[in-house]
Amino acid sequence: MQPTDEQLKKALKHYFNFTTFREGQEKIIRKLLAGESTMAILPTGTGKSLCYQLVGKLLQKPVVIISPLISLMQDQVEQLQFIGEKRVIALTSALSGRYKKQAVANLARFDFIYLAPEMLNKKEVIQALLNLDLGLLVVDEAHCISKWGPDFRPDYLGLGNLRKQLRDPVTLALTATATDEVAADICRSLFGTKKVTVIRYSVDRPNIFLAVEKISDQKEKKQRLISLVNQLRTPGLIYFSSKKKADEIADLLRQKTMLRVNSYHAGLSSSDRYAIQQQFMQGELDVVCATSAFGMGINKKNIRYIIHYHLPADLESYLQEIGRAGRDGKQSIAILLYHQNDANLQRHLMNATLPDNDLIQYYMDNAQRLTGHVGEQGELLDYYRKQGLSSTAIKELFTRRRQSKNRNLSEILAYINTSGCRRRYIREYFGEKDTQQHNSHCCQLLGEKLPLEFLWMIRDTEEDSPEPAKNNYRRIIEKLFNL
Amino acid sequence: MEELLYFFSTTQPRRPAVIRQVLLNKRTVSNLFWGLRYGILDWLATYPQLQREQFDAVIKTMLVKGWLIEEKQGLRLSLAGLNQSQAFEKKHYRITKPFLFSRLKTPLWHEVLQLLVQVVSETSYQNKQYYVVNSSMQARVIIKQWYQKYYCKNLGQQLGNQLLEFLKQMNSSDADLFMQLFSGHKVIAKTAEQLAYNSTYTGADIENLGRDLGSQLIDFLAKGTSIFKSLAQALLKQNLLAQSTLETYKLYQAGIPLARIGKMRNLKAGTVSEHLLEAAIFIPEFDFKRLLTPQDYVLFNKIFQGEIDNWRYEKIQQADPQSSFTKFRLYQIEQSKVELSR
Repeated sequence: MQPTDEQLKKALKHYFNFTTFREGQEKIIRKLLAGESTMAILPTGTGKSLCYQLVGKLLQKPVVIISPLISLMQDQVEQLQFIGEKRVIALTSALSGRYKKQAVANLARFDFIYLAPEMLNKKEVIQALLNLDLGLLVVDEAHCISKWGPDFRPDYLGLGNLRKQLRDPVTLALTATATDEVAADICRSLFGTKKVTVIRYSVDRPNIFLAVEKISDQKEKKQRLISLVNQLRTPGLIYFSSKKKADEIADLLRQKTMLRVNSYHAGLSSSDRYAIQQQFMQGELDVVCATSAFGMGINKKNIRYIIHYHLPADLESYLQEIGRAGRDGKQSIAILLYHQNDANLQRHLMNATLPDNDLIQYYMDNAQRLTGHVGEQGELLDYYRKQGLSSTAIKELFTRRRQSKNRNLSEILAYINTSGCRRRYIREYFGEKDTQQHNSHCCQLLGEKLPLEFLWMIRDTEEDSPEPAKNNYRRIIEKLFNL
Repeated sequence: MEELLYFFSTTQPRRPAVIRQVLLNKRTVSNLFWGLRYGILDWLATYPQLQREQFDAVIKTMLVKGWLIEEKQGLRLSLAGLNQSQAFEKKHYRITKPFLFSRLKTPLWHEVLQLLVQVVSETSYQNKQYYVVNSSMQARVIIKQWYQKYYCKNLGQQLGNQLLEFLKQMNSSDADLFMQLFSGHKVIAKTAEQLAYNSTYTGADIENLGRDLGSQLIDFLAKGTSIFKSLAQALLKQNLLAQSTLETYKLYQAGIPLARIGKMRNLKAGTVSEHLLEAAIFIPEFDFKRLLTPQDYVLFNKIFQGEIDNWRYEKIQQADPQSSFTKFRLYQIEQSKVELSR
């Protein structure tokens, strides 16, 4: 199937109410409609999901999307429902048993089927997938497949086999950031020796100014954050590695600024998460202090700044997170606040998630007894054990993984300490040839002051939000129900 | 968590584990019996998220502060504890209809209520494009089925009127807070913590307020005659008894002997007895006389006098080794109910 330009644009308008494609979208859609599997590396916020959603609509066949995060899937489902798509489902552990069974039994009724990778271990799910006249298989956040990537998920390793079982359907592997090494690894795992088209667009977002501030002690870090938040244009997003810190700083900012600030993390109830996300989307909050749980699937166009209070795990996640700023194309800024102890915190988190040799040995010696009782690390070990790997092989694997994580950390530290252009550093890291010269709108070089005024990033305090109106229950009811 | 002081008494030593299990709705016969003795069964299922570590830490602090005193049979509220409890109650929101909590299907009722307000609100503005509040598939199916059956043009007017009718009986500042917990058309809910910034209440108080008024609203709609009646009724449990207990009790009511009930339901004799004890606790008109013979009453009356908490099964064993623990506990339950009705 190969529609004309006019037909494609008409479909875009009809289903999504857009008049033009963004960079890369049309090329990917055409490849898929021509029946060619494709790996697409597009920066965050460039409308990756629209590619497969439109293909599904045009082919009138079901699309299966494998996605690593329940929250991400739910966001996608909500966005599809928002545009009026009803035949959409997310098959995850969050769905209760009865509804999961019903959904699997009636899988062919859905046009968009989001699947958590662990669902692929269930025979009945595979059988239901085999019975589908599948239009397209999508592997979202495909960097999770790569052993070199930052978010490696063992369940993703089985996706190559799944493709074979499903008789090599047209497949789209999507990611926002992947080095050449990671991209090659993804293609190898998913497609074996088969050649597939790789479409890569620059990770560079020219309207996001890049900056790093080195801070000498933690107290000063708080002061500096308060000062930045008091100056910068809103809305803004501040990332933390810990839920507790996100809460603490949100409290502090509420006291020390006139802004509407809230924290957001996985520790909140689902209704609170909904409320905060919507308040931020609708401009009722100026600043959100969040962990990485916030953001995937957030489609807010006018975020003016992203501040990292803690060190991100690697450049890939950093780029994903700062990519949420400036989707309206206007000047925005990404500031990383760095204190030398932050690297230790990141190392600590790394050690907490990766089992060491002693734990691996203990687990392998007592696997029968321990299965299902040792949390995430145990699940990971169990997966490898079931793959038939020996203790030595597993230890080697995790040693390599730890080394790889350490390398990632060194890369982010090198980004912090580079004396050259930060933008060039990032482009080169992701294997892009850099021909652009550094300029004053690009980034802050090591030791330079932040040119906030020059960038027009200083907030006009007259823009500050008015006091919220007093809320009387009668008035709320009248407003809610149009009385 | 200072509200835990409410569940202790200055005269009766109480075991904290029983209180915790009652608040969590962990139903063993022993918990339920002691919950009955402590007079706190109305509070079943009021704190389904209670964490053991947090609970234990709070109790420990209360002991250190001298608000609770450790005794052989449990913990007793001190005078300082009583003062603290009364001072706390003046400043904080206290759940007014706790007995409704164990009658509601949790967490379904909360999700359905949030969805109902949002769906009806968006319908009132003829809007179909909106982000649906977080809710389970089950809640969405319930709302969808209800909507298909009851859709009418003035849905918003009807729900608005029901809410106004319900809330006018409440304290108006509580009602103001309650309505801010809902999302709808161009209205986004506030979190309990956010509402607490401008209130004398804490975030936890506002959560309690939301649950308390929410459960009362469902009760109000279920008892009313509006188009929301069937929806609200679907969120209420038909019976306070656990399903299996209910089945045993129905057979018992039909006059079937206990041994036969065990066979029919493939249950051990001990389990059948436990089901009947649970029924004896919850069913007001439970027929004790079918299980306790006149001779049992004569014997129990002779042996047991005074404080029911202090009665011990060993005593009856000495007098009549054939008498079962179930009979002893049934008698205790019956006498507790008599005591409570005085």
